[in-house]
Amino acid sequence: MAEAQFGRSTQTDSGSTRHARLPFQFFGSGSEYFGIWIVNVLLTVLTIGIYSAWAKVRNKRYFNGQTELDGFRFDYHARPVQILKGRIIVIVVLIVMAILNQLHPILAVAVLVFYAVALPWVIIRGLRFNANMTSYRNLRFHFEDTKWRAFKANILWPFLATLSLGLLMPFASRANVRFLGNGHRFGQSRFSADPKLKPFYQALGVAMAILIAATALAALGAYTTFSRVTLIDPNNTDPAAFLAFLFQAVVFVPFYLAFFVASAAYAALARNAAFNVLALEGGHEFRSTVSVGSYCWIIVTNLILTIATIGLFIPWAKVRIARYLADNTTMLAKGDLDRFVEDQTDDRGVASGEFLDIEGIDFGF
Amino acid sequence: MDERVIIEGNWLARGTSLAHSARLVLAHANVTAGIVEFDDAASEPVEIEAVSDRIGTVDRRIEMTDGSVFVTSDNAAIDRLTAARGSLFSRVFSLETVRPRLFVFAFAAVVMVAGLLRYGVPVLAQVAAWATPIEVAQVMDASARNTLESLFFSPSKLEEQTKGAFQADFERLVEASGDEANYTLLFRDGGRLGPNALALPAGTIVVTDQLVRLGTHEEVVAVLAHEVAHVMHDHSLQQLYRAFGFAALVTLIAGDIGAAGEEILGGGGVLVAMAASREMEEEADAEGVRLVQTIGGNPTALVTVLDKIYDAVCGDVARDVCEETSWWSTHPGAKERREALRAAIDALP
Repeated sequence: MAEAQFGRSTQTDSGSTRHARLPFQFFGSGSEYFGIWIVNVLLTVLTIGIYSAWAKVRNKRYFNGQTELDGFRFDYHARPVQILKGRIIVIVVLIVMAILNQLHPILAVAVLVFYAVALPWVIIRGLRFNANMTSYRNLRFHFEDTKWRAFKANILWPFLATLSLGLLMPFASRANVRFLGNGHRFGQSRFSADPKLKPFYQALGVAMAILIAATALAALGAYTTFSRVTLIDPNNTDPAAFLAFLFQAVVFVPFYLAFFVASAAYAALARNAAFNVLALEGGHEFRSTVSVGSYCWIIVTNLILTIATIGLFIPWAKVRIARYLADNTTMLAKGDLDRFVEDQTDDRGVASGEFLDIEGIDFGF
Repeated sequence: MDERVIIEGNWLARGTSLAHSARLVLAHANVTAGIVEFDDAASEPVEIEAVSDRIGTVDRRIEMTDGSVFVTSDNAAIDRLTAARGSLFSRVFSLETVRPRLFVFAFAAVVMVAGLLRYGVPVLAQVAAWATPIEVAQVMDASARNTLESLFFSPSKLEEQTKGAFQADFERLVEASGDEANYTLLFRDGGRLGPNALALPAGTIVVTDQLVRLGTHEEVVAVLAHEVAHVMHDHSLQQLYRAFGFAALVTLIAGDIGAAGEEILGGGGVLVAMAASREMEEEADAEGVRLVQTIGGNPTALVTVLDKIYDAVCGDVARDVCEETSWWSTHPGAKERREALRAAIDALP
């Protein structure tokens, strides 16, 4: 470990092999994406959901195609019919399982076991599909990992994190970064990531601090308002209903918002921690510089504007996030990016050769 | 006249990340073969296999038969090139273009999504409930009953004679409903549920001891009529399907808008579900008084028993809360419900 660290730092410092800082950039605009999004919504509703597969592809192509690194855009290649087939299969399985789940308690246990076994498989297939369908400089990404690691990252650790009321969340995050970071390839070049727990616990500390501060504020708010209510309005005709409303306004809403902000803060810092240990074969590294304040500001204002516009702000919200994240992501490239190669003779065969294309459980577009 | 088409862009090799800043040169717009020029050099002739559809200002991808790709941001040039062929998606793109009519689309989308939530999902739920095989309903009935038994119920402490007194009226109500479901009447100690009655999907109707003690005979019969009406109209199945339909719609449209956004929309879904639940209660009230009248009972008993239930459940402090309909209640407020019931009773023949 120490040697690797040492080796890396000398490489960075020596003049000839210095890393080039390549920023990610996002060129999409809210108004342009609004047109795509609203047509997606309209046609999806008109076709009772069938168009959602086409919508998904147009959506992904827009976001990938507006993301640039070193003068080249990303691309997305899935065919809508592939996605539609995968979705139909997933829906049929979900319905069958839901019915079996109701039929008999023993079958319900069997369904649970089925999900525990099938979920890691579906997650891997979904990640593989999405990686295969994503390209940069006409070279596809790939994903492969063991079901055990998928199980640990997506079921076991999140479950333990929930049981521990979030205290084990950093372990879940680390497992997830290991799973995603080591599973991906660009062409035949491997990504790798071996994060430490410390930055995730720092993130958890920040999130907890926000939560505790908000709880204190909510308690203070509750105390001051409730003590004032009885003073100001002793003849209140409907104290119970009014108190219930006040409780919602001064305790529930701020606490809910605080929980939301705290999880955004954790997500921002965890993203930094993940990207900062991500490496791509060939000595390339990545950096993420998302700041808790800016990210939470974007998330909260997005939420408020989305509610205020009954959802019509969603396209701008998505573009804002994409732009902010791109602006805060940098690749530290060692040498030119034109030396990556594909190990398959025909890279297009990788995806279409699959019997079953499942895009994962990420429905919606 | 020089008809050559020259498009600036990048030529990407197959199987490597090698790329050249280059120009695609076609003899004229109607050919699919051309050459790629870069760095004072030119490629072997290339054959165009496919051109990606236009999406906003995103780069276009021209795939060659040899696996190489030419990408360009010159959308106008590619549009001219593909104009002759006219794919379906050039029309989709023209819909997506930013211009005033997008406001019309936005309005249409809002109206349609709202309409779908308000009318589409309920109708679909009704169809799904109607199409649900009786066996599936029975299984759901049994599993719901198991849950209730373990969470709230304990064996009834009523005399057999008390319970038996309702059976004849119950059977007449079922007969009056004309419904062929397999109706069963059960009595249970309701525990925390207090004076209450529940209708399960396949026709199991549970009445709590507390309700029997609270109301007169004809009042309990009126409640039974209300519950029979729930089963008759497949209300519990419909609620299940509505919740599912709403969740599906939100996921489809909102997609990955983040956990909080989904929570908010989900909250909206709960409100819509509650509104739907209140409508069902009103429908069951109206149908209930009709059934009571058919068997020669006293329809106003439903009004009086509701008042007794509200008194028992709400007490004095929260009485006003019970009177008003709020966004988040499953049943209409007492005031509204009483008025609707009176109107339904007046409308009886």
